[in-house]
Amino acid sequence: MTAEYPALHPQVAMQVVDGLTVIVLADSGEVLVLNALGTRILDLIDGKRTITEIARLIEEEYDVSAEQARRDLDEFLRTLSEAGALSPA
Amino acid sequence: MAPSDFETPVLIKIADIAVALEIADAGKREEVRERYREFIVSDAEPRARISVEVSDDARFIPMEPGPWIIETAYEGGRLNYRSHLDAGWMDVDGGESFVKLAPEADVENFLRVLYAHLCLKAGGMLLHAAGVVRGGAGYVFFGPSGSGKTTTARLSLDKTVLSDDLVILRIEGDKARLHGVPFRGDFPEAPRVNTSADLRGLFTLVKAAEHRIDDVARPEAVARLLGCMPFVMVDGAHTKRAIEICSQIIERVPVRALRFRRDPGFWREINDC
Repeated sequence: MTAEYPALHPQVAMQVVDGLTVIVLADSGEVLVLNALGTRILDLIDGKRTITEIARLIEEEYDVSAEQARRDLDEFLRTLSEAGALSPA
Repeated sequence: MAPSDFETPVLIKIADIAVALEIADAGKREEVRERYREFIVSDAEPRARISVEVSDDARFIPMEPGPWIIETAYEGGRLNYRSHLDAGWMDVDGGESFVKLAPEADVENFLRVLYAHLCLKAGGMLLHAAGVVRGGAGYVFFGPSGSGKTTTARLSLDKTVLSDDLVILRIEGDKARLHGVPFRGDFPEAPRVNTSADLRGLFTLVKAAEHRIDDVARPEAVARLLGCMPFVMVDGAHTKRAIEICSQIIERVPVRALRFRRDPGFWREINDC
């Protein structure tokens, strides 16, 4: 389950390289390169914004529907959560 | 009175990083001296002292069919290490380590883990890669198991092959330098060459029908290097350090994808790139 105020797990390491985020997942050590949208979402999941607030920002910045923004965000957060990259809810 | 053999540790120096092994067991001490003879030095300031205890009761993770298991866990500034026939700990910052091993075991896996961490601390990386020196320049071919490291090493025997499995890269000023290691993979008969060279080519391996070299975007390059850095991503701080070093390496030498088939013609592509 994803927390209402999602935040990255403190053991997750990442670095932005040429505008894309290289992230190492905490549990598996798996390395991912996030696209521009994923990189922006990582900026926004700071433990202070709700999922609803983040989805609204994505909707505005990427000119997508509210449904699309929420669907993409939920899927991304679920992936991060399953990989142990989010702080526990 | 002359010091006994035990009082004189075995000094090994790899990638300009020395460690001292204190081994009471005479047979094991000779075995280590022989195995690492190209990397033995008579005088160096060790970054780590390893106390090696040989014991018949050194039985840790039970043997089962499948891959060789090495477990590490970072706790309180110490890296705990455990495998089938050896276990111990390493305090990389404090410079002290201990390993207990069975008579039939060797110190190689413990040394690999220790050197991975010593390199990280010193601004370098232990990398799963084949390393070759040609014309005084270093070339590295990296990738996971099955990617072709041993194949590229075997296809480069007219040059100086450093390893088919592991090399060390260190950042030295505005250059990256390739260092040979005494560790081997599936090519145990390869000589254990103790030399180094400025890194000129850094290739991620892709098996293909034809030889070709492609650029790799920098974020993907960092990710691929990280995926071939064993043992060091034990917590967030170490992982961040590993990412930084990967970024610094590719600033000096870009990663390219080497698509190759099983013949030495890939060197012609390297000549042209």
